[in-house]
Amino acid sequence: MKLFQNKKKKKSIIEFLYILPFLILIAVFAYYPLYGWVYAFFDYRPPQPLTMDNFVGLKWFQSLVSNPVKTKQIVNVVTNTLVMSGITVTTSWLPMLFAVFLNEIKCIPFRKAVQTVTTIPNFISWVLVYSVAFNIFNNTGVVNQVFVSLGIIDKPIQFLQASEHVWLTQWLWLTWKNLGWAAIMYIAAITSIDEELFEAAKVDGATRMQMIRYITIPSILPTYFVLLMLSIASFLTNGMEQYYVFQNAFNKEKIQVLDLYVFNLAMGSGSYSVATALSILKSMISLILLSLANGISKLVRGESFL
Amino acid sequence: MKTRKKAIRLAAVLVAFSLIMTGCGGKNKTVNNTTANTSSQSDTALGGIDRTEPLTLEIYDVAANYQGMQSGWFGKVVKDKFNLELNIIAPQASGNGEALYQTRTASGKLGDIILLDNSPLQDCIKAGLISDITNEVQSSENLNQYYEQYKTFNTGLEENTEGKIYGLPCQITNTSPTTYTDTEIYISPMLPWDYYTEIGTPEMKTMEDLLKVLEQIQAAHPVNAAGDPSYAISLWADWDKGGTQITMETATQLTKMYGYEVNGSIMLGNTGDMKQVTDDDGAYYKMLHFFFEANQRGLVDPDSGTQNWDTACTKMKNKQVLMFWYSWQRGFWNTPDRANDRNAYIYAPVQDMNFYQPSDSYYGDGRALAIGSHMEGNTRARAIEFLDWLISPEGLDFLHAGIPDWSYTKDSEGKYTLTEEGLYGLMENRTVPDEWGGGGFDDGNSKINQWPLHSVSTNPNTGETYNYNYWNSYLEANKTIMTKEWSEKYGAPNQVAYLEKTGQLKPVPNVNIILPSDTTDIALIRSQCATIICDTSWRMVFAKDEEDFKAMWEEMKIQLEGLDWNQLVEFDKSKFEKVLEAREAAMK
Repeated sequence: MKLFQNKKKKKSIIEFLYILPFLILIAVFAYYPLYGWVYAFFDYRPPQPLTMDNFVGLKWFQSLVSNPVKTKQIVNVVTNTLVMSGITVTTSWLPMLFAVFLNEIKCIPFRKAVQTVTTIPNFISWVLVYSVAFNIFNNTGVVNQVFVSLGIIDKPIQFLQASEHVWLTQWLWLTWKNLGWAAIMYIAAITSIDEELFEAAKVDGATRMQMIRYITIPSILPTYFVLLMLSIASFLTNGMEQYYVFQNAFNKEKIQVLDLYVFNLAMGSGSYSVATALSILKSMISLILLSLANGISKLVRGESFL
Repeated sequence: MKTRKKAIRLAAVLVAFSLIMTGCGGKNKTVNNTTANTSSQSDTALGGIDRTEPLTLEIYDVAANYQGMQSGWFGKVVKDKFNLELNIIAPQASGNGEALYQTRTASGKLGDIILLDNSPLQDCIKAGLISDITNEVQSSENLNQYYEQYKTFNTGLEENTEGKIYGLPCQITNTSPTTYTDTEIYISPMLPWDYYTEIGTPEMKTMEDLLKVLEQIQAAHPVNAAGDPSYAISLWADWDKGGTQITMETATQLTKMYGYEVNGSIMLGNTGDMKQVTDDDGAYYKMLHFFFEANQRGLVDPDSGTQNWDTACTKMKNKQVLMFWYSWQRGFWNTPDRANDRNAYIYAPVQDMNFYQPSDSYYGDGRALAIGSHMEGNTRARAIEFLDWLISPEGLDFLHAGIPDWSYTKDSEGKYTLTEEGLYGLMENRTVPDEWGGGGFDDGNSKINQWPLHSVSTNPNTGETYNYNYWNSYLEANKTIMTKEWSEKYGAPNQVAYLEKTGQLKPVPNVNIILPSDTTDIALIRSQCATIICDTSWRMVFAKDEEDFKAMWEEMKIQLEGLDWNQLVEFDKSKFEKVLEAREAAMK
């Protein structure tokens, strides 16, 4: 018996086998965990196993906004999330610009050095970053010591305990950590620009600034837009580790983002069901945002990425 | 085919290798060991336990601060005696204890030996994760001595009226439920004696006077010997919200100086009453105000809000913190040499204080050891044997006193005397002799970090306590210049005697009731309230002024109302009614 009647079919099956491992990976790591969503509809309390006796329907979803105080909390958390993500998205052109200027450095060893130095922070864990931050900015830390001994201030400044400028300082930490890493994409995009364009521009007497403006930036804009769309999709997921290590009683109102709130809720009390309910809502909103971003990209640039 | 052959070969090599290794680790070692007690070496002891195979016991341990294999001298003792290795699983040190608990309970195996707080223990028994060990306890030599205490505790479990033994409460004593053996109390203000006497040991009637004294001391000693800034009070936030607590931990502890113990949303008084932590005239508010006042006067370490326990602890070890309140904190600084220089911390009496101090934990302290329900046959017998040894005088001596002839010596009458090694072993992590496996004493100390029998209990071998602080030899040797001066000034040999004289100490009878754990609704309310209370408390301590301080407190109460605070209070109240009733019964 011939299993495959024609060669075309056989070929397509083999080709399907090529992508099968990746499909399995996605199924196992992206879709299978979704089964955990059922916890949001139960009254789950470890170590008791799940049974239908504990089915509570939409109770937890309602409990999130069951009274003004809780609603205010959720609003506060969502605001923090949107603002921090907003700042990140509106400044997402920084790595691109950084890459462009880095590319202009003609001294190769120096360029490599700068790139290395700016990429390294990406590999330092947030926990370590906080201990560095604590040692630099605490009351007997380097910064306060220098300021006090110079007589600029007479009492140490409570940098880490300040509730002002939390959004700004957190963004600075994030940028310090991610700038070099994010620039790698753009550096790759720049190297793939046709050299002939630059040569032609030189012949026409373009200055370096004009070359950047009329050649480099337009060539890497598509890359930028794709990355921007992707970051909009994860607008609500702005990480947790960073805010987890930097949070304290004084800045929590400003620093508590959705992921951290979910973590504090679930891990602080074992309220897994509520935390799951919140995560489900988050995923839904992310989906909507992604579709919106995709639609806008279709309208504006005539091409979508989904 | 080729690869299969290779795999088989590799497996064969591995098997052979592991056999060689176990051969080495097993019996051969016990030939020249110094700790093995010959009676327990015979394989017929306790119903023929087979100890030839090395066995690793997983100990899920909520008290441990260390995760991994027990190494060092205590590991060697256990290995030589029972051929056991202990793998400590520590939720506290895992970075995410809740998740660890959840995944392990879901897998059905929490641990071979399990150490839990009462409420989770109750949950795990319901979920079928814990073994019934009644028979083993009754047939064990040492555990059986405490059978009645174990039974009293276990009868409090839901649906266990016949008192089957599931959990072995920790820190039980062989004294009585109403005695208080210790000579110090758990929470009280302690100051460096040299600094306090320097300013003329002014009499302190209230907290206000204490603040004045702290102010004077800090003004006189703004930096420690090394030139680092010192503060009267240094706080840390990472102990907040432990278990069912919902308040700022440091202030929570201090309420015990004014007759109350915080338990979740309520406070139990030492006279048998109950208050909410949010009461304006309650001890918790009073303590927050004390911290706030202290901060207004510049007495609070500005790092308090952002540092963790480790950082704070380092400061305590460097005399950068001028007031201690936990009795064990003195261990970070006090030594006999320093006490003879009067450079050590000791209780500084404040007259209006009225201390909340539970009696000896005769029925246990709220945690219990148990055996996992998957444990069967020989491994189960070996785990029980190990627990039985832990509560035997020999095991307890290792846990409480350290290494024989190194940490302490025995005289002709069998009484113990602490050596210098015993005194500094833990603090300085001193190197232990090679025959005990070498390494640091602290590194090799029992990482279980919990004791089946409290150290104030009487050791049948000596007639004294297990705890060296009350050995006659120790008391004699430790009459330092500081303690002599203190005793002379206050007319009492120790703190407890003094407080009993002044009527400031009425120990609360010991009960160990298994309290119901939170329902999911309550857990959610608790978590949300805890966040608000802790955050507000911290901000109150660092408030700009009195007005600001009060406004935050009022705002907090309004927010709590919106988070169903009253439900939580009702829940906690009904929970602790039982405790109060049991205490009343114990007093009769």
